[in-house]
Amino acid sequence: MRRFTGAMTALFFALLCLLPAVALAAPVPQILGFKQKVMKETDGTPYLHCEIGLSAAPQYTVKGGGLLHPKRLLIDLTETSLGDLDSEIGLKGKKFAQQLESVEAGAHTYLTFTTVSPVEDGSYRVTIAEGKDKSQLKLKAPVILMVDIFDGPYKPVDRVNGVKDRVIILDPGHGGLDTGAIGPDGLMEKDVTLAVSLKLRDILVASGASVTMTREDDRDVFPGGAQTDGQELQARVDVGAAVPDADIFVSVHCDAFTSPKANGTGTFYYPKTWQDAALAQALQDGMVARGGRRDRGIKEARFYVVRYSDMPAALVELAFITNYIEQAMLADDEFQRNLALGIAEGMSDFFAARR
Amino acid sequence: MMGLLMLAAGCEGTLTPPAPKSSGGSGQPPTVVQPGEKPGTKPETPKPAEKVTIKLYYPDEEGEWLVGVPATFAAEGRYQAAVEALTAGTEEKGLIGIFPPGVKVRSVTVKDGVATVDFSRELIDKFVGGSTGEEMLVFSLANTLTEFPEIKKVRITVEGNRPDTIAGHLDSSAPFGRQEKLIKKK
Ligand SMILES: [Zn+2]
Repeated sequence: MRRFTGAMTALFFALLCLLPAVALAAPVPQILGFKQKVMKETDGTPYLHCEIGLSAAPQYTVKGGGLLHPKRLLIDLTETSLGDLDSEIGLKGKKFAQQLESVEAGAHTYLTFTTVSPVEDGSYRVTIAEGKDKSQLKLKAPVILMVDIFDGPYKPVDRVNGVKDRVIILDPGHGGLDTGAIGPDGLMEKDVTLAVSLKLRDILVASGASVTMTREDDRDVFPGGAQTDGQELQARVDVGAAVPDADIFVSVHCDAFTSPKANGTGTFYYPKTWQDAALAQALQDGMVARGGRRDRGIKEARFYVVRYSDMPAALVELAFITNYIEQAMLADDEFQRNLALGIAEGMSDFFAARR
Repeated sequence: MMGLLMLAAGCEGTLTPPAPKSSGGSGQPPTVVQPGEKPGTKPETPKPAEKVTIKLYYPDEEGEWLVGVPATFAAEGRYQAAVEALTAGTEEKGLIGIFPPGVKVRSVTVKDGVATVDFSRELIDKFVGGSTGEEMLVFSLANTLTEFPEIKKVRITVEGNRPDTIAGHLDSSAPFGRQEKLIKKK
């Protein structure tokens, strides 16, 4: 191991010696301009997008975070001229970074961003784009150094194939006055079904699907709260019926049982057509693969929303909120993401088989 | 068994069912006529003094299967007695009572092959819920009552009203038939 490290160090220095030769051969890069704008990822996550225009591509290193300067992102441009860039620039959006300080010293130009959140993996992106019209802000320069700063670590939304242009109805179970089942520590089914459904929506929308939800916050779907359970459930069916060319209806629930021993993931369907069982099986397989809980299989049942939806429909049971272990998992952001991804992958498989 | 007797005693304004045979009760059960039931008019109706043995279906602890447990009732008032025994729960190992605590069986009436079981509001208000819970509750009842050959379907009412669902999933607006698929095969 020690000998290997030594060899690596030797190699590293050998490469270092080559670098100045490369830099000398190219023209000295010079900063030509700066532009900034607050932009949004496809999932709606905002970030500050900065562009530094350069005459040529520079060698550069990025240092960020650490104990001493947790909120400092330093870009060290080797053999680069500062040009007439302002030494202090205030930055837009307030919640991403406060200012950019630029200084030229000893043939280096140092760009220092003072960020609002600590600099860590995923909280920033530094990239170089070469060639005409690479700027997203109409900055005229042959080379653009792009610096994106988020207000915390950004994890891009997962995507799946094969759902592009599909029309999907998502029904987060219960909501408003109807809490759904309640776990031993008080976790409410209606909150879990909404959290997972919103994550699922983000995945599907990022993957090109069109998604309509029966509810996007904690409420009854029937306006003002229904008089009967039938009205409330029919209101959910009606949301799907009002969407032209809707492909599938998926209702998201947590299971519950009188004995805390019951556990696992299951899916219910009503056999209106052969596609209902196929959809249920695909979603079930996706959830079990990603969630890793016991496979309770698919079951035929006279459940209102899947019976009366005029399209292939399934009601997924993520896990048992009445089981101590699964209650804790259902409250966990990572488990919710995994289940959402599993359902999205199941939809992808269903559409692929139907094509 | 105490629970069953107390529950039966607590049924206001409804017929008190005779105690099951296993309790060792002596003497004839009172001659009462269930609503919608006319003893002696149908050939399959047992005589009042006779006893009938059926299976009560309880779910297992995992909520996967319904398991039949034999129980014997006096023919007279057998429907209500069976439902009350079912709602009282079970001591059988690995099985559970799915009905919520405090629920009362207000009446059981049978007409044209459909049994209508009227429960107190605890059935919905105190139920833990869940798709699996709801399915197991409904079919523990439907499978138990369809043990009687004259009953083909079971309708659930709560304090006289027909609920759309018990826990928000299962469409309870129409009566339920027997679900053989849920019964654990030995
Ligand atoms: Zn539910």
